[in-house]
Amino acid sequence: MTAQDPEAVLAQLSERAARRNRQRADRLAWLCADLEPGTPDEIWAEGTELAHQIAGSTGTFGNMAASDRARELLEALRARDRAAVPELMGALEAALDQA
Amino acid sequence: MEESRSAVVVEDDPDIRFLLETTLTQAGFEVHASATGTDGVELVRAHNPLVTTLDIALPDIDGLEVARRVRRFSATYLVMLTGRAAEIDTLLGLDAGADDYITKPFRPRELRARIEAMLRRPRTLTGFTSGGAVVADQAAPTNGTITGAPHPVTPADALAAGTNGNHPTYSGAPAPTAASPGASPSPFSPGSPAEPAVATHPGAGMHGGTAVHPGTGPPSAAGQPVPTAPTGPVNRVLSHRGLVVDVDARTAELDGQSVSLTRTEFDLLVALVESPTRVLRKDELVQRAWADSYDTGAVVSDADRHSVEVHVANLRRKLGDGPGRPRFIETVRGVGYRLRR
Repeated sequence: MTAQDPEAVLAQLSERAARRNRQRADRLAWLCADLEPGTPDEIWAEGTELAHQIAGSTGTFGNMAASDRARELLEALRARDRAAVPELMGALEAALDQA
Repeated sequence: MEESRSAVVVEDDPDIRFLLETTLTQAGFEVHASATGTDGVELVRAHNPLVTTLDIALPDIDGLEVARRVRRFSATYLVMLTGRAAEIDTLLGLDAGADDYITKPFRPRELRARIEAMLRRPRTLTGFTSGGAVVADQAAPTNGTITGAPHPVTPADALAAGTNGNHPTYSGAPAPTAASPGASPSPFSPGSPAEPAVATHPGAGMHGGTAVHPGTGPPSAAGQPVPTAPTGPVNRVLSHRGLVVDVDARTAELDGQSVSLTRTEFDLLVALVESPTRVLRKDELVQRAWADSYDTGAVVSDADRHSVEVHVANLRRKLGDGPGRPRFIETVRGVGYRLRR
């Protein structure tokens, strides 16, 4: 590993993390689009995991708004609150876009 | 010896993991990283790192369980990284054996400064070997075993002891602090010029007042300091309402019983007992607890203030302070804390 300015490394990693979180959000939005009473547990579990990953990563790299929205969505997914998910998903995507 | 120190990073997010690896590598650590808790435990076992960073939320076993498993065999400095500021997580983390925790987001320089500061602070070592086995306390250091009091041992001491940069043994911050070995009645000289700015009330007994004993032992059972002639180097001992704090041995006793404190809890307690007549602001306590980080001009953050709140909550719990009428630590709402007189 070459010696670099830690802040420069942070900037590079932040860009990479933002791209990865956008991909995670795309997948999460797709999963959340058709949540129904009979949605399999695996879908809920994957959605919960993705929301958790986004919350942790965005928080670490400084997008606290996205992290907060992801945590709200995470709680809704854990509670299987289908009614709350669409709005929270939209709020998360908006927060990611504003970064 | 600097180049031989190692660190283990346990973090499931690849970007955060790489950030930690980069930061620690640039700080001179040889870094081993894992994406899961179980692999992380094995990495600690294999490399006996000086420092381990640990995410709370991991895909297999959570960070708290990792910490508990690691603490069964390792003296590694354990730093928990969490995005969850909820106090319960922190309390659990500290009880699991964490030496410090850092809330996300963190800046690389902040992380590095916090770890370097942590490593410079004294730590009482006893109880583990470099191979991981628990050993009995020993009266004198042997190769690979460093015992604790009376002299606090820093990792630099451990390095100097020929331990390849990693902790050979310890009783660690979360482990109980042993009573002063060979404690004897201490000399008592209130108002000594060498003492810190502490108001002394030698007549206040167990019901108030803070006494400073530049000696090695606790006061009498009645809470009164016992004057004796000093012999050899003496420790600075503070007492207040049945609480006896040996600053140099980094031990604390409450009503004659040893109290197990983490490094940060101990430092905060000393700060409070040293200044019994004034309110200590949270920012002051942050700077006191993590002095080295703030020597470089770092700004005290809300996360740091929250960290102080959590450490004080832990300290209160260990001192038996209830929320209603605490025996030791009073909250001054919107400002900070003060010692109850």
